[in-house]
Amino acid sequence: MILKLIRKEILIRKKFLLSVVFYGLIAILASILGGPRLIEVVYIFSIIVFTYFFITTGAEIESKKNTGVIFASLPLRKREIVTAKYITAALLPLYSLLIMTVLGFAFTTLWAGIKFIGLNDSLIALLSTWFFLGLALPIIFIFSSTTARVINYIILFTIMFGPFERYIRATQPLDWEPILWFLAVFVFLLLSWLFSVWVYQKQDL
Amino acid sequence: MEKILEINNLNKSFQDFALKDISFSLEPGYIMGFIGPNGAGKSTTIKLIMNLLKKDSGEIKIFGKDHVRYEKEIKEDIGFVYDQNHFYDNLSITDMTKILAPFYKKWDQARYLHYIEQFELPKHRLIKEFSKGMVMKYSLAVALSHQARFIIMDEPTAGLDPIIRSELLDILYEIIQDETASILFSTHITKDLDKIADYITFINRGNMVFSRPKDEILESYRVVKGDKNILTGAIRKKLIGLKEHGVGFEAMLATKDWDNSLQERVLIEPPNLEDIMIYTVREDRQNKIDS
Amino acid sequence: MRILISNLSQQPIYEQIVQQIRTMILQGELQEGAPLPSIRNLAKDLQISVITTKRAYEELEREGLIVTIASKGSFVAAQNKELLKERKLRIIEEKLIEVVKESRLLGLKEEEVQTMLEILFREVL
Repeated sequence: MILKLIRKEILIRKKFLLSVVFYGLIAILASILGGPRLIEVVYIFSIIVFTYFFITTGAEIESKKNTGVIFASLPLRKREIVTAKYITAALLPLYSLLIMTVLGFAFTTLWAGIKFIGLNDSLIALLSTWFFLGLALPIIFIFSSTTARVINYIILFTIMFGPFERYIRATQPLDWEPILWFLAVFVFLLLSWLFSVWVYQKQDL
Repeated sequence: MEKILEINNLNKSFQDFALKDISFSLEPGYIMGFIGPNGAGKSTTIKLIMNLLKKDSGEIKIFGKDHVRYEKEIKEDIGFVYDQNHFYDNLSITDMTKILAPFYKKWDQARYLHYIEQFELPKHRLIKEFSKGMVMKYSLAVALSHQARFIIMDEPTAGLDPIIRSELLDILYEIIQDETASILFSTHITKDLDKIADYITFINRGNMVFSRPKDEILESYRVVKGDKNILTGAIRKKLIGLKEHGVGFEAMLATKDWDNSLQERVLIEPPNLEDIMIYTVREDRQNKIDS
Repeated sequence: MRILISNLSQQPIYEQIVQQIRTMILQGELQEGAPLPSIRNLAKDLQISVITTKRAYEELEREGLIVTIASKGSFVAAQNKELLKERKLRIIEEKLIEVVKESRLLGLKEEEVQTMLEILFREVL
């Protein structure tokens, strides 16, 4: 059931998922024009921003016709509906990472002036995006899509330009314990998921 | 045999509206019309049955099972048609069905295609280009294609032309030929129910009015029309939803309240469901103003 | 078999069905053992409620005109010849009562109605 729901999450955003390649291209080109400061963060920023757009467009598509009503009427548990949204959203940074790696590879082979996405970049991108999802998804379940978009926009920018960015710059090269961080983010996502399931089960659609 | 639907003392309140102590039940093999004016609470009741809204108190059982506890297995056997388009409107129905169909164990693709054909729905146009009636027909096709035993329809005939409406009625008869399936059909256009409904549940302003066999209801009331000068105090009290106008009066009268003194002084007509709804609601409003 | 329902009639729909099937049985149009449409099928054909057709069949069963066998359907019951004749007589009687009432309303005398009857007996084949 969850797999079928994930398939649905992907199907309704087919266009967006394809256009990620195009957006990635634009992001890299813009960072080249924007200078070394932007090149430094382009991969991390692209991945988290794509994820933000992924969950917001999804919420908008679903709230426009209140499609939640249909899925809540199908032989599905509410828990499964929430879980599928979490899994799809959590897969998105991996997908974006893949796209950005391929694009980055293409660019660095063509032109040496740009740095390739490093392991450190990848890990930080994944961690910060998953952390972002842990905050953003419950907000999507609680608020209307327009309100949720604004709140999540603020969270997104706080993560991008707040402590995380400073942290990214300060800790290069790698001198931290990624496993522990992943564990912490995983626990955070789990709690966030439990909370969203609880909210969704109590909710009037 | 266990009931298809059983509702006992269902309550749900919102800021500006409350559904109070709704109780009714539906046996297998029958069609129940669910009537009431706009805003009476029909959609709210249906959403509560489907667990789209959380009830405050009361009991809802579908196929004899609690509708929340056994939600998933119950919904396998429910076909639903809502009064609004809740589909992804930037998809075609073919793509939408590809999303929906896999969730049903008993999905019958051949039957689904048969309905799409019968309803003359374009398979590849986007749902957003559909008229209200077309969306409704698509909704119906999905509801009828997974061997549901309980079909719940919220205002399905709104937006359908008379020809499709008559086709729909034929399909509904087809469904109850199998004595295990039942249909709950909400509408404020009662004309369709005059023919087809076995039972009628009538709610008004969130309250139960009645839930009884249709034939029994139609036999319990008569519409009477006559000269205003026969309206004595005693007669007025018996009349339901009395309306006086320049050249006479019209009202409804329960057959048990029939008064022989009225014989040959009034015109008597058998009511249809619309009459019963109109006179009852009017009476209710008049009482509200009086108190 | 032919049943026609009028939605405009004052007579309840179930009574219209009972009357028409009864007539067909009494006039021998429907023979003993002949199957009747199922309750649900008849409801569908006539576009009326299942409860209405059910009630009509129950009434016909009470009158001993049809029998219903579970999961097989309803059939025209075996008719006692004497009983049948008696029923037919009763129907004629009912119709004559109508005639008498109508005649009184019009102020016709007994003899006038008798003459009418005599003429009709000669003319109607």
